[in-house]
Amino acid sequence: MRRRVRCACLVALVAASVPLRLGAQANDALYDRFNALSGWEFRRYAFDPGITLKSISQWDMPLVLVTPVGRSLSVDLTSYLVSGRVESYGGTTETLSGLTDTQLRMLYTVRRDRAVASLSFNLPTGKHSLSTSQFQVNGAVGSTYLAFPVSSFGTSLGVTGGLAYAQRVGEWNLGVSGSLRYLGSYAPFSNDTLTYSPGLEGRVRAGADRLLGQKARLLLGVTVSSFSTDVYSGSNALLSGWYSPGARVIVDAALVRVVGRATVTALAWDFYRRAGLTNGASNLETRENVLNAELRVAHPVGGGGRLQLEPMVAFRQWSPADYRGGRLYSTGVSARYGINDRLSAILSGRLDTGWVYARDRGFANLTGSGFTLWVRYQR
Amino acid sequence: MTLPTARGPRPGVRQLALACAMVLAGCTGGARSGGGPATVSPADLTALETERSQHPTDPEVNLRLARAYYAVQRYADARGALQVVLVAQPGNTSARAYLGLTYEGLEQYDSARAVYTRLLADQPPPSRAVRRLLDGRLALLTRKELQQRARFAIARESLLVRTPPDSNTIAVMPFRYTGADSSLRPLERGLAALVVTDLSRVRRLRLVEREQLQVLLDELQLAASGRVDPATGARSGRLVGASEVVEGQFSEVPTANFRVDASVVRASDAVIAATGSGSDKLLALFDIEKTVVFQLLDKLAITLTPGERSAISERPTRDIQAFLLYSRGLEARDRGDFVGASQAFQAAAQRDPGFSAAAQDAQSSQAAKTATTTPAAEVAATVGGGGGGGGGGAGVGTASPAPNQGTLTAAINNAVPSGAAKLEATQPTTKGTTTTPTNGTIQQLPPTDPNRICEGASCAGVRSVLTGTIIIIIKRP
Repeated sequence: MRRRVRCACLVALVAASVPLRLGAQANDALYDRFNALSGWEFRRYAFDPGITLKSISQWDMPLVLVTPVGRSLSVDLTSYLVSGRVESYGGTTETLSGLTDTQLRMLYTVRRDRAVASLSFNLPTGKHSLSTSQFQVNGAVGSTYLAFPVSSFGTSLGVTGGLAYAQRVGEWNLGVSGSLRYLGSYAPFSNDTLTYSPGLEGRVRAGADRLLGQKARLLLGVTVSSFSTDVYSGSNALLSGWYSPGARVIVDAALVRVVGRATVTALAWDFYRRAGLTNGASNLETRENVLNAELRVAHPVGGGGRLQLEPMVAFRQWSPADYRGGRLYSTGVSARYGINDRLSAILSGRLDTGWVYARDRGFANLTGSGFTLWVRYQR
Repeated sequence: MTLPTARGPRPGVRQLALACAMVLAGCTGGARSGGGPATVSPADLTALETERSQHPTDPEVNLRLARAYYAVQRYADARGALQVVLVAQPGNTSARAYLGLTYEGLEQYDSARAVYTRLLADQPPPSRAVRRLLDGRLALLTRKELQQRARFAIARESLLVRTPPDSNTIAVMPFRYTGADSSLRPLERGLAALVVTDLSRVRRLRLVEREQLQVLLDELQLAASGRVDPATGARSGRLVGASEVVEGQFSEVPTANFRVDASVVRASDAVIAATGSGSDKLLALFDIEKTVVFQLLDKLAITLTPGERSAISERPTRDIQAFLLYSRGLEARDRGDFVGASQAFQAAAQRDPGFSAAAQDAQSSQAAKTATTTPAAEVAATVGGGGGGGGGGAGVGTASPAPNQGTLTAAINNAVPSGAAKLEATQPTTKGTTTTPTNGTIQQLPPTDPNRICEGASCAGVRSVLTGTIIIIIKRP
């Protein structure tokens, strides 16, 4: 019954969002065209023998709808049908499948090209009460090192308010934004009475970009997230406590340069998470740093401009506080093809190789593979 | 081209005024789908090409891409994209303006001229500002065409030597000033212009434009050398297809204040066919010049009709100072200084309101000045906003004084994550000029919506399985 209500809610939202476009005019909305995106994504990491974990895999089907509503508003809706799987050398396999939570976001243009206000709702259409075995899958896909397309299945009803402002200063385009997020309490375990009450999350972003000469653009950004305390309330003292997540800092930079008909993109980001506090004591295991660097070269193929290929190589270093972490080397290629004026497809594949080091358990080499097919409709 | 007088408001005028005002307000920010003129950055080419690959016939996308191609001087690609736009929207004035500019980039000046001329002939007629811009582009085109023609002629000089020149075609070299008063040097061009004007009154003669010969001399770098001799004149004449060349010089002399000498040189063999000279006070400059011209015509055995004689006798102005200013204008225009040229011509016209050539050249130089100081995007924005059946909404006249829109998109998508960021990755912008790399970066960032419940118990990611932490149990202190 509950699932039926969730589905009905989602369908109603989808249906409601589409015809609203009819009322749209030439407008100031940040997204001024109707867009729908769906497809299929797959990501898998396999680990060599020697550790318990054999593989983590996930496939998902995203559903993204974006539509302008009236002159200054755009609404977007995102959900996924997802399935995650964790396999161990011990012979156990855990699978978790279903719909994720649905994000319904409204963007209101306060001032064209300058200021946007946002109100986003997290609708609990996903699974949030899991068995302990299912929770293993939920945890496995939440990695910052081996990033999966969908990092969380479900939580609770939540709301996020945000504001972004952009300003041109000399040759620079500057953008700042902030948001505050509230999530309601929920029971994360289906076989336990534990209640989880997430704290507020505040997020601030500052970005800048500028042209370098006539053929290059430089982009810089930093995003900082801070959290108030999460509270776990169980039926007894053993199942209660609190956790104060450490602040996150993401610094990103990119340089794009046109070289002949090709466009070369060099980008890097660094994710740093401070140690959180568990019941007032520093929890070093939660401190980590992930550094990522990529090089991409996009080149149109043929004269029609319908097909574009973008090979890439990437490097990633994971540095947790308590052990050596891991390293990943990746390569891949994306192909974007315009089927017609409204429909386009993006096909990409990637291969990864690297290792992860588990405390007291040595190295484990790993290989990864990924495949993405997205189809996008725009009108 | 003459400027039309304002006849009251038209629908496009307010739109254009708004566009111009915004442009002049310094908007260099990102263009939206509605279009801003300035910042389709070359660095966004990938985004735009991606978008075009998804919507190959979308006129809006192709127009943005064409602007980006134009910005990185990929004119052939820009032309291709613009042709797609114009198939869908033949009346899109922004695209047509960019097409003209693109043809200029491709050095296909005839095609560019045809585009601008058709834009000027649009119905309803374009606004005054648009006409001024287009007139300016045409003036610049003329200069570019002359330069191209000169380079072409120089490259083919060996062939041209063997080609018989057009009979009765005369070119007039700039006169050489041999005196010491530098304020009189501009008369080198002024006197040449006067002689061209006078000789052009003779029906049986065909005159090479003074500017055409001047550009050729500039290309040959002969003008600066001060070499004015029969051989130089003959060579120049052959290069511009003239059978005869008028050369001359002038200076102050003790007895008569001012003296002008001129000769007609046959281009084929550098033989002097006729000479003429005159001297008087400087204030009688026009009389001296007429005397010399009549002498030359007489020695060339050209019998003038009364009408031709009367026409030659006309003075463009009676104010020698106005003519000196006008000559300065010619000098400035020849070196591409349209600002200086415009000022000098205007000053000449102010001194003598009856000096119609000065007034006319002031207008054309003003238009050229506007055209040279107006970036391509603004030209297209102004023309596109100026009406003329503009292709429905794809014009770029609604400029916004804003930063790159991608900056704003990236800011909000990082603060309030959403699956809409996937659109940024697949088509990095929905508006066309956003900062693709930022959006691409978003796609590659770690989960923007972290799994906090797992994080609290250190069970997120591979760590959870490796360390065996699965269930969250936290003791209350």
